[in-house]
Amino acid sequence: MKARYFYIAMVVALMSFSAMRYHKLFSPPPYFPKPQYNFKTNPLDSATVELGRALFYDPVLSADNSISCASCHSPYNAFAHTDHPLSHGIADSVGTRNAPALFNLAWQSAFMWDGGVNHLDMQALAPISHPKEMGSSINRVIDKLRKSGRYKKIFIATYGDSSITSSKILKALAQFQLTLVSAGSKYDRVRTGKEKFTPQEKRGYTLFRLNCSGCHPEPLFSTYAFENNGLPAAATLNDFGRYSVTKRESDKNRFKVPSLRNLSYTYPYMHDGRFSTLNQVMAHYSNNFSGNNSLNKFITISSGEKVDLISFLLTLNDKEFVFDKKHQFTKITE
Amino acid sequence: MKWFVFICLVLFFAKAHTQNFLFVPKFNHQSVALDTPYTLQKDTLTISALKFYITNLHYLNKGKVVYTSGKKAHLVDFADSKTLAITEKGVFDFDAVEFNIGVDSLTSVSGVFEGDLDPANGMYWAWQSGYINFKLEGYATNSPGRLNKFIWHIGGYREPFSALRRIMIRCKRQNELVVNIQLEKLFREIDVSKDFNVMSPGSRSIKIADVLPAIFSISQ
Ligand code: HEC
Ligand code: HEC
Repeated sequence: MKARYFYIAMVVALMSFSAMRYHKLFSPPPYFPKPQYNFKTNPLDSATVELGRALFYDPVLSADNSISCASCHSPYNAFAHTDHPLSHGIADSVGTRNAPALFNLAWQSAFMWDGGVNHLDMQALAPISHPKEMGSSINRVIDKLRKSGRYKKIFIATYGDSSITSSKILKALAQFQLTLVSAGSKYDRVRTGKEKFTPQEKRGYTLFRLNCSGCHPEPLFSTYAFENNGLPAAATLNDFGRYSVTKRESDKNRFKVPSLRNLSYTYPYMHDGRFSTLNQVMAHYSNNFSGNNSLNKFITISSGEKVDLISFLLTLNDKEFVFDKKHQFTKITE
Repeated sequence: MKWFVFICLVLFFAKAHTQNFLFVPKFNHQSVALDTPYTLQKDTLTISALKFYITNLHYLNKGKVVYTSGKKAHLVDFADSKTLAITEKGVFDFDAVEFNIGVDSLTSVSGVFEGDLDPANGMYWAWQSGYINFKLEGYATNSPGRLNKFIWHIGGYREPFSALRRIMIRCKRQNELVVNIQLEKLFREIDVSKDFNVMSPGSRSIKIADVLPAIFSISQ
């Protein structure tokens, strides 16, 4: 009988210990909604997150060992890419797109600007196999990792055996990316009562709620649905967004709504990176807003209001997240 | 000694009591080998790859499921003889079998799996997530493709372009069910001079998926 209580106590202790570890790896604030990602099929674990981090920064994933995920998704840009709007002229209609920022991915269930990828675990297969991105294949990546003494050791340390499979690689990459939670902006500190908005930010907040929150609702600042925000289709790119996945006429020129957190780090903006400043974005929304969608209405804001709105948007920058060492490159000790 | 006899008995029954589901591709009753030319009507056809998913295999008796295959998804690859049979342990009476050609939508949106559903098997689309249900590649003199190549990658789980097809075939109970894949029917229904390159979900993929149930039959 005593032994049984002891056993139960041990189980409870173990459970709370693993809950603590989980808490450390993934701890969104209480006002965030329930994540979309099913953690039951891939429970976070610090060793696996570290493996994912090593893979994310390792050019071994590309055909000629020259490009890593971080080449296009830099931690200092909230994991977006700022050099050039179109990440390396990619063929097909899926190419020619701006590398999106990576954070709060656990709340999304469709990835890429057109939602072509249906699960975070599967996302890495796309860049790895794209001839103009990493030009490799998951089989070649597995072969290369199997030949690496360093990864053999890491896989043993992580999984207790040295077998290297696509499932382990993809789940580790997903785990690292799931830990990229951005919830440390001024907006969040205001929300938790630690700070206050300036009068200008407050005015911007009101304008934001009036005009933008239909598609960019708090606290994630996106519905992650597919909308047309009135951008004229770029004639040269032939990219119809969601339409290429669903082939539904009504999905033409709809793109996944991006979050508005970390905008100071993620320029240029929009799926094709056509705007490089927030002023240009504001000019677009106040002049050309003619999307053929349910929220179709003209946004009329004065130039003074534009400044207010931008000052609010800047409170969504999360410096803590962008400079967080635990998301940056690290040399794994063997 | 007693144990030895027991083990022998178990082995004997285990062997006698397996149910085999064996796939054989054919052109007009002739078994097909890979990379070998066959003449069909006015075309010469060579198959270089044939791979497909068989999932949710059920054995039925009088309309009721009597046995559900232990393996939820099975990838048949004609380049790998180990994959040509689905083996079940057990005895049961049945008068029909039922199975999917392809991977269902729930599995398609549930992330990464190992084994037959491993995306490294070359049956997964990376840029538009989803499994290729049925893959047939080869050469046809009527194909306008480069070197007369034709490529059929049939799949997609989103409506209205879901390419999954479930079929039921009546059959007599036999320990080894030989499932013929009558490829000539595909080439009769699909004009390879027009649809020689089908590699994404859509209406052309559906057109081929609609023919798939008819190409499977069981030798009696
Ligand atoms: C050559 C540049 C490049 C490389 C290398 C690259 N990506 Fe990307 N990434 C992009 C682009 C461009 C997109 C958007 C593609 C689209 O919408 O079609 C994207 C999209 C994504 C998304 C979807 C984000 C969202 O909000 O939908 C994730 C997640 C991602 N990449 C992770 C990775 C990982 C993990 C790797 C390494 C295995 C990687 N990327 C390598 C350019 C790159
Ligand atoms: C109808 C829905 C909708 C409304 C309303 C809307 N947006 Fe957007 N927003 C989008 C979509 C969709 C995109 C991506 C468009 C693309 O890339 O083609 C976007 C992109 C953006 C971007 C670029 C972000 C990036 O990382 O590239 C900014 C900034 C932005 N919106 C700000 C706003 C502001 C400010 C408002 C209110 C004035 C607003 N949006 C109202 C749907 C909307």
